[in-house]
Amino acid sequence: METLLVFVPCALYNEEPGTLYGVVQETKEEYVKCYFVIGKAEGLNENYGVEKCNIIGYYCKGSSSIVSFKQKSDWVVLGLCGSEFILHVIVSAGNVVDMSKPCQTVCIIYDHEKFIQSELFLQSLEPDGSLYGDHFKMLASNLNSVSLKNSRVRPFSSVILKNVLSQQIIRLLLCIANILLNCITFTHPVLKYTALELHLQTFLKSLIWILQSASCKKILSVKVWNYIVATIVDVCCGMLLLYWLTAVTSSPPQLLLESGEVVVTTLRELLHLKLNYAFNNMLGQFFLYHINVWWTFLVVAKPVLEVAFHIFLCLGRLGLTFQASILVDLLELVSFHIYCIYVYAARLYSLQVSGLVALWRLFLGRKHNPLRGRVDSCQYSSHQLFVGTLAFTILLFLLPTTLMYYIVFTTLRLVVVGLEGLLTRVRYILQCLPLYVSTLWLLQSTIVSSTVHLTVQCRETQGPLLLSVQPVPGSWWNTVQYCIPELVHSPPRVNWGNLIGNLVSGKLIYPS
Amino acid sequence: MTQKQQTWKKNLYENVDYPDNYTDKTFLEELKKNVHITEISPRSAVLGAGLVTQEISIVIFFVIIYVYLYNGWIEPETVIVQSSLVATIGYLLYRIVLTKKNYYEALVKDLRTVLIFVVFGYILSPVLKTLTDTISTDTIYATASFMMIIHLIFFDYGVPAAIVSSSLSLNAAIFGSVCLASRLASPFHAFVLLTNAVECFVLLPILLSKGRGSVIVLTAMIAIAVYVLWTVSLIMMVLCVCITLFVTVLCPVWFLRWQNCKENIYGPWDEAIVHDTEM
Repeated sequence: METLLVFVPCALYNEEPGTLYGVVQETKEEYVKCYFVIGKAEGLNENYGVEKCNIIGYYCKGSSSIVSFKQKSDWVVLGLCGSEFILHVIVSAGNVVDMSKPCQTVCIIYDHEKFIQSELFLQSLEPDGSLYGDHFKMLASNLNSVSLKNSRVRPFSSVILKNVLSQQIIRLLLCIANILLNCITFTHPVLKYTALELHLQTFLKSLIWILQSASCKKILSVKVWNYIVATIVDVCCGMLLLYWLTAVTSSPPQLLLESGEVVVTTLRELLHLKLNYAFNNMLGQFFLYHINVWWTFLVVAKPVLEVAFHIFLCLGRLGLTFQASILVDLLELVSFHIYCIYVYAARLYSLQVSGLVALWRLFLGRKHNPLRGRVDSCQYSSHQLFVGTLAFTILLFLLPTTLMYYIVFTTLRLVVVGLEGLLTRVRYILQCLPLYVSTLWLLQSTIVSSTVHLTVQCRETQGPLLLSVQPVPGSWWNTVQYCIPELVHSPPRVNWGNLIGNLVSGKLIYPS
Repeated sequence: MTQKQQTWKKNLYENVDYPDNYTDKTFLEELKKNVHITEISPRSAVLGAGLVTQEISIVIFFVIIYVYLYNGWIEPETVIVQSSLVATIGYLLYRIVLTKKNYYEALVKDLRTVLIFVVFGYILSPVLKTLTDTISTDTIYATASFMMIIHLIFFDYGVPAAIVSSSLSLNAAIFGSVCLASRLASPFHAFVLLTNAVECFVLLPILLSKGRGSVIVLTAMIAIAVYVLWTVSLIMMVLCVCITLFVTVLCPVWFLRWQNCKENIYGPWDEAIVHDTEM
């Protein structure tokens, strides 16, 4: 049995009798037929600019008058009794439907203004854009596609934006932003390793997006407002932090050098542990040499650091996110030597571990068979066994020393990578800060409503079921997720299992 | 109820009146016990057990060499000269007397092997000497003992068994000897011990595999092992004698005595074994 849904706008309460126009949609799989009544028609044959939108019914206020509808296949006749709607007649596919069967016909009363106002409703579409199964989304899309003359949308911003002068200003800003973006894209192959350049690119692209939505669509959606508010908060926080920094420290490069000195002295003390003396000595000399090289590099690069600090002060005014990206770049520069030493230690350790694993197999009299990808038994000759066992013994007893160095330098590297990851994620959160959206959600405004709330109007044992629907905001997290700007890419998730595997086998760790 | 008039015969085409799962009382007459029994003489049992004793005595020789070198009772130069002599004699004996083949090609290959052993041993002995400086002596001795036991368990005694892994036994012996060598006084001592390890665990078993059935060789080895242990420590000698008696005398006696308890049953229910026939 087919279920019939009739969507009736509550604006019809105050209207005079007349013909109704709307859309009839049918979903064959669920045997549901929806009659979306959009409003009262002015004439009989108007073009509403949307396919399938035509006259679908008649509204008679008091008594049920008879209008000939014999030629129509789908027809609805509505009436008003007291303060409630009555569905007099429904025609489906040419047959008059018997409304005495309970719950076969459902009449849903909606507030047309609120459905238009909600901006997030249509965003919760299926990935392929089909509206299958959700009748309220079908309703919202039909309402939006029909252009309505008496729609009242947020007058304030649209008045300002429709002003010709402001349009010119917006176009000028758009040109400048495009030029800047082209410059940045030109230097992209060279500078793509710096976080600052990437951030600048995202920032300019978002700015262009805001300006375009201001000039083309002439209204600013919730997403755009959210991003603008987040950027303003970002800039304020940045200014505060700069003010605090200049008040607290006189010269950050000096601070950096002092912390570097602490690290170096700690490293020197580590070499007094109980390890294999000769090997330890050799490795220790090697790494100490590198640490001294880094120390010299820091001292020499001190003026460069001062310049970088001034850049930090300038660009940092553009927001906390810029400061975070500059910090990431500075951190990478300063920790370059740690990266080099880490690479040496990691390569040595991975060589030793893989050699140990292969020789352990030899110890047991087995061998890896690359043809079959498995470990087989193998008849070694005695001198192969002799040399193999000697090498195994040597590698085994030198492992603690190598392990010690590897652990130390990997910890340092992990700290640096962790800091960088933290700063990247802080930047991402700042860019998507949902202050504006949360405020709207707290005030339960209809702009951020993404789901509906149905109440039963009257319950009769016979006749159609009367419901009324209100769009309401969904959960806070859903609302926030709809308003994340698309141009901002979330940082990739850390694959912990992979990370631990790489640590144990000595493969290099890269920042994500 | 059918009358069973005909006697049951062991074929497929008669016995019509009998049910399909009928078991006749003549079934167990075809049972045979201990068909493939092999009589093992005491001499062969003792000689078989003697293989294990031989290997134990080789391990004892090697450890005695280590003890002498460690305590400084013998100079490493003496050890290496004497062991090289013994090795050369053993090699010539093996190649000329026992395997009566043309030995010129084998000579080149063997020289190459010797060169590899000597060169690697000599180069790596300074490294090997300082390997275990930070590890306590007790750990070293425990590891060496454990490795020697593994060597004895997995050694190839000439009997086909699934547990035999000659690579593992050799590797365990070399590992144990490297552990011991790192405790000696100088790199040259370590090199000497390593060379002796190679001779004892690689070369000697090849030579002894030719003398498997000989009582003289067995008694000679046991006697030498007991004598050198006596020069080191009386308790160890007594222990060695006890172990030798256990392995060489007691175990074969038990083995022979308990052969009487063997009860393998064979019958027509065994799996058929298909033999290849010569056509």
